[in-house]
Amino acid sequence: MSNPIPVEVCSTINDMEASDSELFEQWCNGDAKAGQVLFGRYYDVLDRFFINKISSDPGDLVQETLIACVKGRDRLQQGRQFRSYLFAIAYNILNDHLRKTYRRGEQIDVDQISLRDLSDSPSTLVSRRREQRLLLEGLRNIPIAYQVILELHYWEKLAVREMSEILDLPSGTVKSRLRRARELLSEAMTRLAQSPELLRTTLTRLDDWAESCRRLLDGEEPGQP
Amino acid sequence: MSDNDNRDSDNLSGGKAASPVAGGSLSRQLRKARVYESIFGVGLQAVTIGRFTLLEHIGSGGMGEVYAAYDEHLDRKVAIKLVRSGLGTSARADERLLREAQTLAQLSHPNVIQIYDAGTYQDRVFIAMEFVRGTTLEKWLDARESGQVTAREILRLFIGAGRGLEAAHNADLVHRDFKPANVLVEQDGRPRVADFGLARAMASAEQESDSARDSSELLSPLSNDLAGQSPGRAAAEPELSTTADTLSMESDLSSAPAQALKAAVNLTTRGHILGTPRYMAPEQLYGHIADSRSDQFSFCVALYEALYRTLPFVGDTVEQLRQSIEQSHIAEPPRGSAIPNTVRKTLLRGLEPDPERRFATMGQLLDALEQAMRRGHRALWTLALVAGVSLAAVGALYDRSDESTDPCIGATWALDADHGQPWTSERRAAIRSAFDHVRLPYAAATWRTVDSQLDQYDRTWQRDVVQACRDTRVHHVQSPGLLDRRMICLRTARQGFVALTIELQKPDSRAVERAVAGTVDLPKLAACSDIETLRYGPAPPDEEFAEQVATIRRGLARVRTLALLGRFDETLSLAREQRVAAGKLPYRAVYAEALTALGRLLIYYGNRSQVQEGEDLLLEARDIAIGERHDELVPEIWNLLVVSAWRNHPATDRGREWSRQALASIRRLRDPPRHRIEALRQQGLLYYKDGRFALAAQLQHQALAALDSQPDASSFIRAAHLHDLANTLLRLNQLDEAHERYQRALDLYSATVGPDHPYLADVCFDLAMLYVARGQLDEARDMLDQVLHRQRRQLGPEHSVVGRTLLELAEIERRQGHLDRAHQLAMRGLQIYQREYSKDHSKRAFAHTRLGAIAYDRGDHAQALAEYEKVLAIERANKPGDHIDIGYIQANIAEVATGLGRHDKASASLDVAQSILGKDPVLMAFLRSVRGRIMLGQGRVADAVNELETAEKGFGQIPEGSMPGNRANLYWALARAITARDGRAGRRACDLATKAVGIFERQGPSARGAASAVQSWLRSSCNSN
Repeated sequence: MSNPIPVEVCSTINDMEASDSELFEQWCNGDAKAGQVLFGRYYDVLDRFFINKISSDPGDLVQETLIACVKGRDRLQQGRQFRSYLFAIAYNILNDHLRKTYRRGEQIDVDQISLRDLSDSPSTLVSRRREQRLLLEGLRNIPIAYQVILELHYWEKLAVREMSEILDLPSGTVKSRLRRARELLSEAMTRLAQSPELLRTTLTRLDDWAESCRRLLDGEEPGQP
Repeated sequence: MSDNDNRDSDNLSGGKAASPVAGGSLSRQLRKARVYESIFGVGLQAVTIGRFTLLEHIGSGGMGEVYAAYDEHLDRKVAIKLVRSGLGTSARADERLLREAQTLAQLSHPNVIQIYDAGTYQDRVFIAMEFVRGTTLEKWLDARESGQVTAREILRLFIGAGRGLEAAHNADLVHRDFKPANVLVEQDGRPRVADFGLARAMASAEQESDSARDSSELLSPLSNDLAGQSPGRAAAEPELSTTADTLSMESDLSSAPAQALKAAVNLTTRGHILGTPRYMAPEQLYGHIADSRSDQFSFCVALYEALYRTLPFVGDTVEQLRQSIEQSHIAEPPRGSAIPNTVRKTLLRGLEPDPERRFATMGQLLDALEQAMRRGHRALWTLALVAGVSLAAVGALYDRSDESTDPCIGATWALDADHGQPWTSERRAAIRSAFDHVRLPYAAATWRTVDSQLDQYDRTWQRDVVQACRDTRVHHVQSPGLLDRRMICLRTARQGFVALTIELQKPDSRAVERAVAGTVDLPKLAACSDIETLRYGPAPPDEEFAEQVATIRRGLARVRTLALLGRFDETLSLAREQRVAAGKLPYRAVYAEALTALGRLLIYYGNRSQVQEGEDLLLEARDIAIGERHDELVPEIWNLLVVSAWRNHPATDRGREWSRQALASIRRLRDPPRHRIEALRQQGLLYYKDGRFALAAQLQHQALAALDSQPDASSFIRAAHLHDLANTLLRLNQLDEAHERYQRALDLYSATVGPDHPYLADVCFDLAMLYVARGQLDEARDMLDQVLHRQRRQLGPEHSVVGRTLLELAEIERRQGHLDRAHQLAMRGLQIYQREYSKDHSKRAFAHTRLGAIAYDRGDHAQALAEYEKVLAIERANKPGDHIDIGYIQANIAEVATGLGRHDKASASLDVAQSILGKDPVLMAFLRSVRGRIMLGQGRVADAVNELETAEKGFGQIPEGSMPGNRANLYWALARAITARDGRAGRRACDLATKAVGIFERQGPSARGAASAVQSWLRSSCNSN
């Protein structure tokens, strides 16, 4: 009997010790406290996942993701990482959102279409450094599937195996896509950047810049690359 | 909280230079808190800057971020700009900005955005300012269509903004970046200048902190973000585009960020320009000190552009721009321009490259413009004066549409003219702060729903007004007469909205509790688009009474609002006044409305005699409304009569007749959902109260289906319907179906008014009754304990609702055999009822019923009889003699009197009970069993056996487990009766007694006494066999 009135839950969860999957299971079994800990762990990650890709409020999609996550709990298979499960849902929700928002009725193909084709401005991204700007802009100019793969790789530091679960692709494909994504990004940035010097510093230090952009999205002070 | 959150706040308080990302961690924190609250139903800690509590991130720009915030001291909504600092070394510039903002805070002028406060927040300057709803002048200008907006209107706006500049100049403040994007046009059309001095402070910050970098950072205003847009649309222009905007003369560049990027990256200009080049005075372009005359120049560029739709000076680079200004190379006006020459001459003087040759002050320039405006030949201004002053509404209503030529744009404005805009940022902030003030746990959730519903209602109303106007004046498909009817309808509807928004500003916990119901009950706008009904409805009042009629309708709107918000007493006299006033007018339609309003008040909130008065008034209203062909009102009256019926006399034919009439009058209007759903609901309740549950369920299912076909129906209403249906299904013993509806109702209430609202406690209460019906007494008790806890907290320990919960808890404890505890609870319930209800109120009878049952279980039949006698006395005063409740109570009296051996009394009560309840076979079986026991007590053994045998057959028809106590009593009585007849205990008697013992034992402690009595009888009478 699920209880409609939220009651004080005396939880014994230790924030530091419980694994994601343990927390998730407890949450699904009605333990709000566990959900709150999990929320604390993943809100920022999900917010960051959405913010560079949509023009509306990322909070709504984060919420949708977390709710879908609980609803689809049965799909979290034994042994699979909670994080990949979460990102897979986030990725689906992103695709649905883009479909709904930008091309009513028409199919969009995330492998082909970039965010630049879809929206004219992402929500709230303003970067001060031209290099960061170039990179963020570059990311939005390549097909969404490639943008996602690069961000998962550089920002979330996910392993190929995890990405393959999230994107539902074989590992080999993930690797080749990652390669292709870097190529596309560099092409996009070359198109966008008129100063060769700027392009060179950005491209040759992509890892550093990626990291600084991630922190930028988190609202942190960007380090000097 | 988890470690991640700590990380965030470390980042915020760690003294690092502030976030360079607009929409950075602060706005993420706000989003996070919002999502957290909607998932878990509890809030995270509020994000504050100084005394300001951040509400939402509105937008971002090159200058930083803008947030909507709530000012605790001043109790209103404000906008906060968190200015992007340089990279931490710009303390001096920040200080200057701060000083300037503080000076500006001293300045109050109707055409300047008010600054309330400025300070620093983690090394960044923040400026708290007035929150303005509207649009920017830039967008306002974009929204017009060529040639059609009047030059007069443009001038009016600019002169207003200019007066704001002038006031700032008088306080020794210079704007330095005046342009249309920095002027806000409020919903009422008032222009306000924003962002004084920000330009310089920002640019200096850059200069000082980052001179080594090739800084392309020009300054972009935040005004766009400030113009209170809804959060969803608040996406600010990214800095990329504003940067481009400052440099490029191509107006389409700003929508092409890729090109913008290109422009930004390509920029080669050295040095720092403070402001937006295309509006900038030459002295600023050279990097010299700007003064008030520089603002004058920028003002003239902007006005020139607005009037001639071209910039006075052109150039692709700053250098070209400078040259163009120096040569005073101003393009000739387009041929046929309607702008008077005097205006042009005045502008050209303001555009002199040499500041000395411009006007000495803004004031002089503005005076000259005003004079030119007055002198300008009227004909020259006329091109599109149709829209006149009401053009002010354009920004609020339409974004960049081509509808600014529409003669209907000012229509809403005109309708709101006599009471002012009811839904402004000030009003909204005031309501919000009233909600905050009452400190109810559900105030925040309620506010969100109320806010969005009011907003949606306001938008629908505006749309409908414009639509109504257009049908006549643009599309020419509607006669002016019909337009008049639609507008009167919309105007009347608006009164309800006005009354509600005014009342909600007052901090009042009753109002907050009922606020969502209040918004749901706003006049249905669909009625004003129901052309057929309006066309054949009552004609508008004659000119000579029109104002009086409007005044009465305003009063009626207040009556309805106040009553809904729980203020019956003060409302009653107001309603009576309206009735008297309406009675004096020959316009009968409004008299019917006044009678209806008063009748509604009385039947909902009145005492017994007032309810009767209300019903009479409604019947009178009905006669008039039908006579006046007030077809929209008629169904409402029938529905109210049905309400009165189910509240007061559900079992009568009148109620059923009225509900049929209600449906017929709605069919006459071709079944509009606005009436039909309500009628189905009330009719469902009527049948429910009358005990016809299957019919009630059918109607309630229909109502829900009708509701589901209304996409914009409120979840709140749906919750109420689900709750109704669940109650009916519970009575029909369809427990799983009922359970599912209760859950959905809880979910929907939770989403609209928050999990802490008393409505949820009501549902939980009924859900507990469902557990009782399932025999899950422990679950029921747990739930009622929670309900009790919540109700005490929300409503206070002495609230009548707490009394009801106590009494139901007592009933559960009784059934579980905890008779002492049951007695305590019931006594506490009774005490509350004694305080809350008058001596002859049915509620008090209910408490005595519970106490009677407990006393009976305790074996204290005398006490039980005393309680039941009290119940009977009260109910006789409240209900007709043949009411079903009288039947029940008489049956109870008969049973306890039998136990006391008072057979005559028992018999008399039983006669009454039988005459009322005799039609129901189950009840009849029970009554026969009591009758049989009486006969047995009277020594009429043969009759007793006969009666009890019949009763036993009756019990055979009903499920084995139901009415166990009564069944056991029957078996036991029959066993004794047969034994008495036969003179010995035969096999049948012993079997019956054995069955009775079994049941009594299963019943637990409450039947222990009975069980042992039968057992000892069995031992003495049946062992010998």
